[in-house]
Amino acid sequence: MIGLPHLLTLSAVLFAIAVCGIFINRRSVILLLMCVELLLLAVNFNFVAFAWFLGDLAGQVFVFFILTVAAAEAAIGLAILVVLFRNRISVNVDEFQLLKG
Amino acid sequence: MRAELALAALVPVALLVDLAAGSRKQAVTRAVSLAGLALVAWAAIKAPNGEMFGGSFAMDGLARILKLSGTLLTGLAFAYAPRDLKAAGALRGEYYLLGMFALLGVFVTASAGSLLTLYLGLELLALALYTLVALQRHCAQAAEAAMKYFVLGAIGSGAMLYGISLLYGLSGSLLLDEVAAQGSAGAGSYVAAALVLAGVAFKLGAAPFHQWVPDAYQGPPLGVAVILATVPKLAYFALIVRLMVTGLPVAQEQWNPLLIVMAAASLAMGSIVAIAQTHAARLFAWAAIGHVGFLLLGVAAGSGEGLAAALFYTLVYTLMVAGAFGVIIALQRQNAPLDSLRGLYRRHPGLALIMLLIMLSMIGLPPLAGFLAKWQILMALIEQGMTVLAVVAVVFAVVAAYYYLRIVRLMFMEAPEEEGRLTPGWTTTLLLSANGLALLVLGIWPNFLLDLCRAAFASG
Repeated sequence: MIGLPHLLTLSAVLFAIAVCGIFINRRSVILLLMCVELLLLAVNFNFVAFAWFLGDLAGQVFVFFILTVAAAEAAIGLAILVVLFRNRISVNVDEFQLLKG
Repeated sequence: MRAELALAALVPVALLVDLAAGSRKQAVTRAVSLAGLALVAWAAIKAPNGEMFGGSFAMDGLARILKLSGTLLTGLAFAYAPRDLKAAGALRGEYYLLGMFALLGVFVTASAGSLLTLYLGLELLALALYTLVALQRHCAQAAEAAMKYFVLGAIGSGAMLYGISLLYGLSGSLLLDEVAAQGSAGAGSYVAAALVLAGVAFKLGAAPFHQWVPDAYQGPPLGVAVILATVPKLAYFALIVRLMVTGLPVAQEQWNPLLIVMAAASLAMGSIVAIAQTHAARLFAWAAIGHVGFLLLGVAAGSGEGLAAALFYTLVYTLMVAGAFGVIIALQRQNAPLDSLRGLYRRHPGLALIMLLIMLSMIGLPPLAGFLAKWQILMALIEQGMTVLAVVAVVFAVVAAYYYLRIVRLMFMEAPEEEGRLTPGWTTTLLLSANGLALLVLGIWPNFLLDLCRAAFASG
């Protein structure tokens, strides 16, 4: 039987993977964007699990809003990425060192 | 709700006007935006107190102050920025539209009564800000700043959202009042509070989550940085009050130590690292981290008096920063290094005097408003028996005085880098004078604003 703790553990693991991915990743910015998406999906998992076990719909409604915001966020993130690529001809995280100090 | 509707209607109107006026007549879009903002401010004053959408959206004293102040600051930014944006080749109608979207985000956050409205308001604000930072498309620095801001901002939102989901799971409701009523001081609420606090710190730029702040201020043109440095701070203050103070009062004993550590670390980082900066926007970014530390101390005091002091501090601080950026924009130097302030007194005595007022207010010297803001917070701390914290705050305020005085010395005692008087234009001069004098007036007759701040927290 799958209970709430199992689901919460899964979402915590997803969250941890996403955060590690963001901080360990030294290569591509696209990977960063994917990790950001994963972060939000981990939260969605939490909301759906809580909503199911609480018998309350509000959590599932929240998920729809998060999905919408995540789509907008991805659009803006990719747009910024395109601007960045046009200026630098690279999406390598290590090369972003114009601003320092 | 009226103010939000007015603002939401204003954005498409401004968009159409911008489209009709063409890319060469930005002044029309600006005029329409400023006139619209005046209407929005009037609507915010007139809007009655009360709740809507089953308590998800609430108009109260705090929301009203933050909305009015946000509208004023956005208007100031719209007035100061065009000169700089034009020089940077980034003066497009989108600037005003995105600025107003960010303001709408502040409005929604300030009035949020549930976790959902809080999150949506914050994201509306954040998405507009990411785009604003990337506005100067052909500049590699601006694009890099936007990317860093975007990624770290998204992590901050993610952490906070994770905390919010735990709060929902613990209380079974999205309404902040319900969350507070159902809350208990267990391990679950501790994790939730820590995550939410980390998200808040990311947004506010409090140490140890402050890395994006200097880059995000320096990368974009100054006209964008002036919005970034002022308007969002109001929303983040609302966030910390609504989410931590209203939503998690039970766990206050658990999160207050974390808050105090963050505040002290921010004070230290902000005051010490700023000393080594040579770039004006970067210096103000580090200084901002220090100021955020100060206002978090007001929240950490945990009393209504402390929260009122923190609100007063936020309002005064954003006004000071708007003025400081206004003066730097008037210097007409791209990518303004600190040296561009050199000999300002000889190039334009008026601007130098305004900047002097602002710097002295930032240090916190009487009779300026900055002094009173710091004083209120210190008094609130001492009243709660946190004398050590008050002493720490004063020590770092003295350290911070060093770099503000260095700016004063650059302006008054050094020879200018380039000759020739500055011509900032009469509207800018007038607005900057009003901005600087407002600090003096608020310092001498603070009671009106102070009473408003106290009233905002009197019932809660």
